Amino acid sequence: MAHDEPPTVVPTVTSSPCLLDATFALHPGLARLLAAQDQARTWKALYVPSFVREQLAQWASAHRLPRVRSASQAALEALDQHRSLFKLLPGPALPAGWTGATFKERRELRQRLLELLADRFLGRAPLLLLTASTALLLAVEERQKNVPLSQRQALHYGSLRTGRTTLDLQASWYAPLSRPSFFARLVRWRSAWHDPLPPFSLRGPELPVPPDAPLHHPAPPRLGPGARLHLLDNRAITLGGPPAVGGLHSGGEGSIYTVHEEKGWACKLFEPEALTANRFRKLELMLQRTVPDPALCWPIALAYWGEGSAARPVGYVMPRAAPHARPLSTSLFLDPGKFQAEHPRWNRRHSLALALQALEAIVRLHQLNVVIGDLSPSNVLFCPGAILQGRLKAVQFVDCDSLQIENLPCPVGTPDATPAHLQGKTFSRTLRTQADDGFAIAVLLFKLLVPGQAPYDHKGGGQPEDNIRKGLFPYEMDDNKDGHASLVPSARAKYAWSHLSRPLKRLFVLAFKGRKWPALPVWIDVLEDYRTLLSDPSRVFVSPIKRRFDLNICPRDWRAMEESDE
Amino acid sequence: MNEDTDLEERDEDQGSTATRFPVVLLLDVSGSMEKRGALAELNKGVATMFGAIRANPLSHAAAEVALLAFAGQCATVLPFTNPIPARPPALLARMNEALPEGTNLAAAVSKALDLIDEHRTTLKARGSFYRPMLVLLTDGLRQSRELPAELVRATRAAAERCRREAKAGLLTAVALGVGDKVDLGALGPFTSGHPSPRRLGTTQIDKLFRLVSDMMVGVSMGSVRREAPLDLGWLPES
Repeated sequence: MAHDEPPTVVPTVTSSPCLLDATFALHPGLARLLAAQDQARTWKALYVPSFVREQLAQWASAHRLPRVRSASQAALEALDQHRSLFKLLPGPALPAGWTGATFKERRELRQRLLELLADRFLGRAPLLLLTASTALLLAVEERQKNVPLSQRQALHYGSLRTGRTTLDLQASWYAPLSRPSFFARLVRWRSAWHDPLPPFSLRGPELPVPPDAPLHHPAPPRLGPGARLHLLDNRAITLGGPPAVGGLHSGGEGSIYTVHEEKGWACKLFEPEALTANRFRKLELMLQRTVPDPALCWPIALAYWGEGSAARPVGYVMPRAAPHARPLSTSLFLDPGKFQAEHPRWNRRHSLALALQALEAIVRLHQLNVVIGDLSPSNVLFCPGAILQGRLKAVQFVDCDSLQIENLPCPVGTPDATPAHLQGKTFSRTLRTQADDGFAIAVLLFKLLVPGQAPYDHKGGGQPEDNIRKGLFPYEMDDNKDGHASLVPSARAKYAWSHLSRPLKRLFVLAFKGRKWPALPVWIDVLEDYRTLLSDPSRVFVSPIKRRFDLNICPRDWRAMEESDE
Repeated sequence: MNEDTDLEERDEDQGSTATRFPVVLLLDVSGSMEKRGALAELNKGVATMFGAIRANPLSHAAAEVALLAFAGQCATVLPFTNPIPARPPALLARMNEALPEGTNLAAAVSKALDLIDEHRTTLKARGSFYRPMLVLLTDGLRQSRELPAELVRATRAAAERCRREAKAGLLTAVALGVGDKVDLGALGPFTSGHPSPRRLGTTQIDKLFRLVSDMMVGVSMGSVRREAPLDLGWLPES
């Protein structure tokens, strides 16, 4: 979109002051946004911390990448041109020799911004934080979590996307939500909507799992399409057919159906033998919180079968997954070549966007003190089209009733996503920890970036769980040197691995060889860096250029390394 | 890195990354099976099974099925195939084809085990695979006193090999006897212990194949415990 084209929509957040972060300022849309604001003046106030301006000046003069230099220069010019729009927030100057390009410095900058936010905004005034950094967003969320409920103020995050003239707004997880949403309408009989979202209590694994037992005697009949059920508020629902979600709509525990009366709903019916007391204890617990997260198919209400006093819960209703959403397991992971052929524009940057969105959803679940337990690629849905358009909210987690909440375990598990010490355990009697999720997260990320490949698969390997127990991770930091590199099971995996950034490889090696599962913010930091690296046109290629990073998800050759490679 | 190997690997790289699940169906097509109408049921069962496997994208990518038919000798009807075909080949009927009369279990089991052994090399190169499974279905195993001594010896050797490989975790073996006359005790050595050999009627063949395909779908989705993959509790043990 040309820069002089008049903006079609002006952001309409009028009640909050805005704070600008350096990552946001680098977007080419900044000038357009400021120009529009200069005319409309809909914002209450725009604050720019003095160190953010200094950082931009520093980047403009000395950043290693010409692209960042010119973007910083443009941002400075835009800010100077609309000087009357914003207030500079004074703060200590950046130290001498500051480049703003290292990990440590970025963290320091984030810390400064956090201090400023904690000092002036969080718990004191509403805020619209303009930022492109997920790492910052997460850090702010973590802070906001500590603000007492009564003092919490509206907090929104704004970001810009290429080719769009509107600001993308996202509400803080921990702020009182102001806009009525789709979910509020759906769950109007629940008063929980305006209540804050307290986390579940985190019970240690030492607490016993309550004994489980079948819920109904005798078990209700097996129900299917056309069955009439009702909810607690006496609304009747009729089950439709199975929704088309990548061909997977039933698992071992239940089947999913559409709901005739509500297009936005789906209903999960449990198999008669899966109707147990613990399952419904957990659902009751989940229903105490209304989780307005579009990334989660969180239960909305229990579904009952039978009339009057004979009514028995047989399943639950939840938001329906997006119609174009597909499970990772049947698309990108199953046959990356075919997936690439179906989505020719899909490249590694999109895989990274997908990874980051999935991680953000996991962060939110972990903040609720939930343990995911079965982080199977069949339970992670994504819309390829939405990711290609750069949209947020393109990832959804389904099968939320299997999450481990308090001392109610996640009764299922996928061998490929289960760490060695849990292999062979009876999951319905085992409480897992968020640290155990770390393994599944690492596997998921590896399968996203080395498409479809399980990390411990190697030539001469056997059953997936045996490979995990054996723990042979055949990928090496340096592709040409010793080690087990010759055991990498396919050329596709070998080449894809060679096109990962060194910090990312280091993290995978630490995880799969050292069995130390990195914390979520660490993954996010390194993945964001890799994404930045891949958005530098001088460092990537789509048809082979040596020494650059291949954007194809299935590269056809190695990346030739340089001595100076960082 | 050797350029040649690289090129070879590139060709292999086409296709899915699914962890393969090889299953050999070792099916008795002797005259007695044909007479009791079991052959038609078998053909129907295999078709049902193929349809169910193809209906799920994960099992469609993961399943590798080989079909062996045996009577007096054993013939490969379908070698390990992935993805499996939409229309399964019809099982050989002994009357029309070249298989001699009889029930040569020794030759059949040896051939199946050889087939799995041979295939294991390919599987190992892929990085991971599920434990191969052998499903044996016969109506012909009588008390050994009815058989020539040489055949008894060969049968015992084949059973010994099957048990050894199952014990070493190289495969899971399940055996089913069709009709009332089969000596289930003699089928025991051809299994990996759990589940033990079961007896089934001609009309139950279809249900068996549906269970086998359910199990294959479950395993490829990662939702079935592989220690006890096939639930045969509904069939009598004697």
